[in-house]
Amino acid sequence: MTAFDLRRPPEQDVIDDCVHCGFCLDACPTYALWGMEADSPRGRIVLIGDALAPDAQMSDQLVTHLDRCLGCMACVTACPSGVKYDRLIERARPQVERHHRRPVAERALRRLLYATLPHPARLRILKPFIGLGRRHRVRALMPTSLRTLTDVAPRASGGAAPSLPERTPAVGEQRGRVGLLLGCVQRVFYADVHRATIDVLAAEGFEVLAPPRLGCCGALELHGGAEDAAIGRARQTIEAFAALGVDRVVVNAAGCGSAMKGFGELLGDERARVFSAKVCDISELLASITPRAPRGPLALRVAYHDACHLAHAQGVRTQPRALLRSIPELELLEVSTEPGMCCGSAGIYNLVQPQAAAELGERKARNLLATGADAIAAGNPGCAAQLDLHLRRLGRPLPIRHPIELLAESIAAT
Amino acid sequence: MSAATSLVPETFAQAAAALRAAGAEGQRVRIVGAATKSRWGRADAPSDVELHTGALDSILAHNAGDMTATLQAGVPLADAQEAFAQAGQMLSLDPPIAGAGDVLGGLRGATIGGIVATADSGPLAHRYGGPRDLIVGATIALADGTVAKSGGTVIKNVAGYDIAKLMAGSFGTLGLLLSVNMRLHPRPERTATVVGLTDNARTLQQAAHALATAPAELEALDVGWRDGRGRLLAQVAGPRSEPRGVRLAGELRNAGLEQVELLVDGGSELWDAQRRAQRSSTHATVRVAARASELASLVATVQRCDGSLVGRAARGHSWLTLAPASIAQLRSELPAGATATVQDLPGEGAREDPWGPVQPALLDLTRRLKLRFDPTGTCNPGIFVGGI
Amino acid sequence: MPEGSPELIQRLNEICGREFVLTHPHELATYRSDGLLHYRQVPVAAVLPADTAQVAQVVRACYEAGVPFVARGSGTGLSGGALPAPDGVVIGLSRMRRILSVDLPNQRVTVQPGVTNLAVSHAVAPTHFYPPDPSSQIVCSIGGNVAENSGGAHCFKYGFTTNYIQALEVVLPDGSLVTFDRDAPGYDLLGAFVGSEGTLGVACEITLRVIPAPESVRTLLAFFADTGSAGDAVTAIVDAGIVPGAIEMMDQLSIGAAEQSTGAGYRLDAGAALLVEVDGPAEECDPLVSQLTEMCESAGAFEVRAAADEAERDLIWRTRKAAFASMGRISPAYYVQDGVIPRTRLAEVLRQIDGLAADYRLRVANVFHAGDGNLHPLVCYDDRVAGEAARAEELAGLIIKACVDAGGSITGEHGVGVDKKAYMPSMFAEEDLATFQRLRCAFDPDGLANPGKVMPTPRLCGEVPGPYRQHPLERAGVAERF
Repeated sequence: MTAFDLRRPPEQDVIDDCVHCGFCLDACPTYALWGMEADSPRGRIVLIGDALAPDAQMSDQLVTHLDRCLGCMACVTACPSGVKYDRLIERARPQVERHHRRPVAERALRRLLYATLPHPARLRILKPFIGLGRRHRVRALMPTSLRTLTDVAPRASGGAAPSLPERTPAVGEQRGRVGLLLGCVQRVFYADVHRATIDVLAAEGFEVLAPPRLGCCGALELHGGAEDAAIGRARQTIEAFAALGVDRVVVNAAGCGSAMKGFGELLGDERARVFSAKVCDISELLASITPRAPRGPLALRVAYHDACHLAHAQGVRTQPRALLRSIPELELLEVSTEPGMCCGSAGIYNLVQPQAAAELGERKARNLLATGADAIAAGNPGCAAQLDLHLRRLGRPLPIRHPIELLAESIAAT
Repeated sequence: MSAATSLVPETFAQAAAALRAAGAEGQRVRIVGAATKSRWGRADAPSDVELHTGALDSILAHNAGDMTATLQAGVPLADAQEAFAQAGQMLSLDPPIAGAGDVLGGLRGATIGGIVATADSGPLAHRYGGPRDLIVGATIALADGTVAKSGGTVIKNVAGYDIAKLMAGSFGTLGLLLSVNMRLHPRPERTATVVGLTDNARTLQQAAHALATAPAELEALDVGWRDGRGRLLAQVAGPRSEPRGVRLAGELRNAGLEQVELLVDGGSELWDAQRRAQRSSTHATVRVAARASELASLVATVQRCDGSLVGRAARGHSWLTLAPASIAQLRSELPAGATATVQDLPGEGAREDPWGPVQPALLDLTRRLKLRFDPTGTCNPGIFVGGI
Repeated sequence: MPEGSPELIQRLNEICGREFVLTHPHELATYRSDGLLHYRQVPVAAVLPADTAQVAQVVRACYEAGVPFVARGSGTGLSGGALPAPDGVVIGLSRMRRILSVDLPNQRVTVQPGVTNLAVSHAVAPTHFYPPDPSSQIVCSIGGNVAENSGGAHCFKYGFTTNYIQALEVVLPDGSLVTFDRDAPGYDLLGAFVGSEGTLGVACEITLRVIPAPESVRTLLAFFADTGSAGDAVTAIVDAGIVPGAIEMMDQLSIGAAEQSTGAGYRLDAGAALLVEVDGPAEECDPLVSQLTEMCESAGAFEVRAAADEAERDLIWRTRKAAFASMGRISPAYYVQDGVIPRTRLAEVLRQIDGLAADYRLRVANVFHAGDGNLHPLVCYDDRVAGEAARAEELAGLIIKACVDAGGSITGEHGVGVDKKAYMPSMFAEEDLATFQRLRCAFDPDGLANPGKVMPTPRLCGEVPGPYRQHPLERAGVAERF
């Protein structure tokens, strides 16, 4: 009897692919922070592999080191042997949830997070309280975990919430019909990103269907190890889009896109695989077509931040950059120090591992500031919130936009 | 101090046996090559037997295709270079081969064994380092008669411990070098030497810095200072030496040096003069190791001590020639972290410790090493640091 | 698995802090191997000191407890050099990764041992670089480079780690601190220490020499029908007196594996790929491109490409540097070797290896530094097939023997460690090994620093002033006092 049960355990074959070369150590943010082998991908592979052995036990140490993994997959990019570490950590986390009893406070926090974040309606209710929670006196009274929650939550943008219609027709001749995932956090805190996405897609000749009753795609739960919940949401998501008859399912949040492309693997059935094959990030879709809508100038120096779930998980790097470069007078700047390193947001990571997340967030903020940019472009709401927090903490706030927002602005400027 | 007996072994076995016999008898052996540096170290340390390497003078192997050669310790460097030149190769090691006062010890000058044992070097050390950077293996004899080898005959080799490096600069106190395996380089067909002058030490230092940090791939970068006048010499080698030399000459002028000259395929007299200035029969020569950025201050010190200086500017290795009475002053004015070792010292009689201060922890380890290799104190006892 | 004595663990906790002293078996398991997975040994504790002072105290504590220790950098070594000693402590230097000073006017950089090799070059770019460049340089540590006297692709022209160390601050096996300086009078202890594979002490502060980055770098990639003709090209180049910055060769098998990782566009139909890089002053370097192209074509190259820019050059090198780690894509398991042969015997030994591989019905991929004759045969095998691992090991041994017989060495850059100590007697006679032991005993009479490495059999050190104590190995009759 191994430390893991037989429900989708991490695969020995993947473990065996690791030749222990250590190239991943250079890419791993937690190894950069702590220099400890057990907090490196190579070390975590040993931990997971050993847990597959007969008579293996799950230990607090094993859980600690797996919990500390951001799931950023920079190691997958770095690995010369092609070890699919993402499969290992994704399958290990639910095992931890099933077989390890966390301390009561931690359990409560996780329950709270899963009860709120994937639920747009509940998030809307909580939104004003977050602002309250940032006031000094209130903040001082809160337990640390709740304080962190309010700290890392996105700042509500002023102004009325934009309309996100269920159906938006194409402008001019229609060249396709796409579905758009409205999701959870993005819809409540960054609805402007959805508005921009719909506007650009329509301008480019796509009919956009955005099912309003479909909530979270389950990415947060999937990446956090709440496997059953994630499977349930995956089915709902597939169901919701199946009825619509769309050519592609467009996503503008990196974590969601990554999760949805993985539904085939998660559910293991043909329907899920077919669905996953339709999923693409907005930048991928735009990069694959000849642009129609003329772009107007945006004289901005923009540093592009690679969200881990776009760059490492999906291999989407050139497309967002191409999107930004298509905007006249926009100067695209690259982060030169630790460009592939996670900002620390990583799903619920910055809520359950606040210290590590804060160190990484500050590091990334400094590296972005070093580019001399006027604005940051980031394709993930979690990253946007994290970067905003840490730039403010350094006293150097900068506007943070999704690349699609900049493109929408550019198209509107003509 | 001349010894009673002189041994001249002709084979490794004879050499090892001679050492063993001496060791067993409690005799102190002095190892002698061409005697060009016999007054270095604590030269007044007594000995009973002299062991000469003169008959171990064969080039055992020259693997031109693999760029290595095996030389017996008694091979004069000049002979080896001649042999290598015939295959278009060279050993990139160019210390002065004559003794103090330009006397050619033996007929052909310094032996490879003596050069390695004293870690002597010349202008090519700028690019190629000293003997320890060119040695890839060695065969040695220990005082108990052991004959042992380390390293090999290939350039790239990390098997075992680097005893050959340990022997380099050990002044024969760990054992007798029987043969050395050296790494060779192609002998360049074309060279270019540039030289410039100044009477400002800071200008000299800055010019040296400019050349040292430029991507010029210099073979040698030397400075000299005498009677208030400084000079900078640099050499390049390769098919395009001439245009490179032109560029270098420009750099020297930009750095404020005067009377800048370019000598294509020439300049050997200048380099010979640099080497000669590392030795003296009338004055003391002190080998100083300091940082490149301390050159100007070293020059000031040399001026105050009424001496002169030559050296490898980038490596920070300098040879100061001055009156023996000024050595104490020199030591007191050395920059922190610099070391000074007295080499040539005229006159007979008792001598002060030429080695300078040594870290206690280092001395301790040095003694332990000596004890392991030469417990009977047979090999060149008393001439080394700490009286070892 | 034995546990460390509670007193020692307590002391280590006091020195480094509890969170940096690991004793739980799950955490210790992550230190059981370095880059060679088929050697595993769990230590009794793993300690991660923060600075030189802590290292010295940790070593002192081990010394007083008579507990052996093994220093570990990034754990990427390929000879099992960082394999823990049974009943021993691993001292991980991975938290000590600060670059302490960069002194470009004096062309020196001082670093802590955990700093990666590539980080040094980055710190002095673009005007300077640090030449020794092992393929693992993105992750391997300077401390590890010092222990192994690492070389890398550019060592034919530029030399090895030992040629670039100016000074070392070392913790000796008894916990005392000493500084070795290349320019200080006395024995070249620095030269003896570099390459001593962690058996003489722990280097805690390393001063490196850096040199000006070459003005011009030109990289060519040539494809041949077989390694023989590629070898002919190498001979022509070296005989012409050209000293390229690097000459690397890969055979068809290794090209195939590496291409899967990098997709750089190496010709999969080539029997051999030759990477030739010349660097130096533009006047010397640029004219060499056509000369080298001609030499390759005369030797039979069917395609020669010159990298047009830095990005292309980077891609060419990435494939070469990914070669080892990519082997996992084409074989479940493999043995990495590190033999050296005189360059003039290259073709002959390669033919021998081919013959041996055929006899054993195992695939052997070849990646090597053609300029200095350093071969890296990668003996592929499937560990799930009964007996194949043993056959592969036998074949690996024969390959090493062929290298030594040809006048070469058992290791060019990976070190002896535990992996090759059995082959030491094929290169060194008893007197040679005994002489090595004298050096080792001067530093570490109690045999605590990385014991079980380099020397083929356990040896003790002879008399030391003081009362005689019989060593447990002596009592067990396993080792002789020598």
